[in-house]
Amino acid sequence: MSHPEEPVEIAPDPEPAAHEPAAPPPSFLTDGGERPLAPAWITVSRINGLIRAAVFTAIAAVGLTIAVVASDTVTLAAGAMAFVSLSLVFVLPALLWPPVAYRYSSYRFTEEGIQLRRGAIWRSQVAVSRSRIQHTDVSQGPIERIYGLATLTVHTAGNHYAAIALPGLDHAEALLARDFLLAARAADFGDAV
Amino acid sequence: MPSEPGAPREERRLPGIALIFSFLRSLQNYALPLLLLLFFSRGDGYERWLLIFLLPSMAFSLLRYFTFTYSFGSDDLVIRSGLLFRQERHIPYSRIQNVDLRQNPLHRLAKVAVVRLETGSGGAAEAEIEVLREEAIAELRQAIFGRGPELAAAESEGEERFDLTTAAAAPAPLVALRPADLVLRGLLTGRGWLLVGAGLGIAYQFDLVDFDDQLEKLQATSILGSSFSVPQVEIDGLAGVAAFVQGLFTLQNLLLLLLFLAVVLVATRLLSIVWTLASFWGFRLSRRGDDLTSEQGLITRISATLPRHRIQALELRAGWLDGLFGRAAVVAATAGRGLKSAENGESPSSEQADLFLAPILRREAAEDLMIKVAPECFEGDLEWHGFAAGTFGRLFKKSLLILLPLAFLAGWLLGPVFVLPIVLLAGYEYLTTRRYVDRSRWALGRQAIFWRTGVFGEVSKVVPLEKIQVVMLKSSPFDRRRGTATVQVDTAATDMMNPTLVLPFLDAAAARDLLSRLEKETGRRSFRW
Repeated sequence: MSHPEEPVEIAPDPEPAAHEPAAPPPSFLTDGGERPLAPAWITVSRINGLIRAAVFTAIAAVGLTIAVVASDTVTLAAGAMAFVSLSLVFVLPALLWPPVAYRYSSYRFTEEGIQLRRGAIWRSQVAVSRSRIQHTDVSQGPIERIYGLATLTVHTAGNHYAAIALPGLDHAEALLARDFLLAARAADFGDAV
Repeated sequence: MPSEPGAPREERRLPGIALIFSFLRSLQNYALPLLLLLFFSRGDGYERWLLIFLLPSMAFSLLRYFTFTYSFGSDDLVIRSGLLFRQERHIPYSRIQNVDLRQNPLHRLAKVAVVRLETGSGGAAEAEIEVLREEAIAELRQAIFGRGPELAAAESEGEERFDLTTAAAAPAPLVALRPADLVLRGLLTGRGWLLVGAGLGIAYQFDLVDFDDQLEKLQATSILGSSFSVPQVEIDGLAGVAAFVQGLFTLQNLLLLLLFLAVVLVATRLLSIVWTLASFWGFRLSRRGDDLTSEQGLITRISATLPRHRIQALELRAGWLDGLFGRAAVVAATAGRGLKSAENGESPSSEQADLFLAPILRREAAEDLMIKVAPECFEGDLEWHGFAAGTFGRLFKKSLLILLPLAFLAGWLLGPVFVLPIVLLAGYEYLTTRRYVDRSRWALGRQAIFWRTGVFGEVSKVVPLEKIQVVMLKSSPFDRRRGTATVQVDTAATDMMNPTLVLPFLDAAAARDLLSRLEKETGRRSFRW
């Protein structure tokens, strides 16, 4: 174990002989700086939002069609108006919200572990220490895969916040981050418990 | 890690008597249908053939008995069961959080107990072993808990034998409750409502009581000269409602209501006392080495063993009546069992999952017990912090925002008299908010974080820094306007609904500082289950 009380710089290459001669971890993992999500996350999140909106719009369309056909009072024009306004209600947030959410999302690899910020209105900041990480997942949805992004999920033994997801990472970076978190943890704290 | 392939594992079977208990248990599951069968059979005898349905479960018991074996691996307990679908379950010793023993009177006669092993996965027990004999249980405990370095010291203190009935074996227990204590607890906690509700439900379900008839009789009996009177006012429009409500408030009605409430109160408290006596009879908590062992129960005796270092959080809990009598309970949260308490200090609705270190103690003794159980947490002086300045105003304003329009509406629509209860309510809100804000505080110690709150009762929590898993800082738009934030601390203690600790209305700067300090403090401690 190192001396965690002192602000030990996790230098790029502390003891090359101790471990395999691996490449030093990239600077974004060690410099402790606040990092924004990958900009492509906005697009990914818009597409995902639009897919959801399309599902809702389709349901609305079915409902309105039935209403127009079955009822005498609901005219075709009224149905069309309702459809357009409803689809706007679904589609506009899906397009407009991601840039706002993006502005308020960031992450930071600290000496102790990882910190995430998210939420534009209800904001939250989570801190997970490396020693508390049970395992990590790197996952990619279909849209994420197209844009080369990934979601890093950190699992702890906690209950309410057992899994903490960090979306919008570059896939390669997510893999590096995963290896870094686990390797550093193993070096510092030995095996599991 | 697998055990050495060369070391043969000795497989152990359940004692023969387990078969009898297994049968009894399957009978128990069918007890209600069987009773109904006996009650409602008209003597034709054909109902008796329905007993055939018992056969599968009997057969299952037999099968389970003959296929169930357990053995001690080097690192894990191995339980095998099943004939067609074989199951081999490995439970690492280091992951077993609690060992619970249960003994009903029959078990006690036969000197056996049901063993339940819980790991951190929450929910149902990981393994339930239908009755083991004393020696086997001692061996099991030795295998599970006998590995820690702390235990070596404990064993030198003297050999202790497992015996649930004569618990005098242990040295001076940390807690030993007398029946009088339990009677007081029964009085202070409203367990009775639940029983009355359940009783009424069952009575209603099975038509045991003709409720309409009883109600008529009740109205006919004139306890106070006459029965509850309902004003004969036609309810049309708001004026009618007001007249009706005013008509209800006769002296006679009030007296009847009070009498009714008194009867219900006495009945529920009596039931509550009986319930408490039965479930906590002879409650003892003793410590040997690093293990805490609690024993309780009149009819079914339950013994729970919990290694001290597996406590994820400690809680001192007092309802408003407890507070009045200067009493409190102490509960431990583990990865298998969480805290079921409401944050406001009221008694919990379900006590089933709570791991009581003491169901009732004097307030000071309760705090002493917490210190005895986790002395390292209480090292050093504590600097207590309250809510951010202005929190009282913020909370009270929120209540007024609801109450003022309500008072206005009531006064305008129903009459000025109806403003009075809402004014009283506002006074009550003022009082409770004041007390909540004045009494809530937190402190960061060297080894633990503390939180204390409660309006008329009290909830005090201690979370060892070592057990903290995730720290979160939250701020709503209202928080940002007032410059405050909420810090939440999560541990492995089972509670899906809430994080283990929630510190609201902290000054934003203090909250950020707390977050980074907690992150540093947890980062330098490794987590041990």
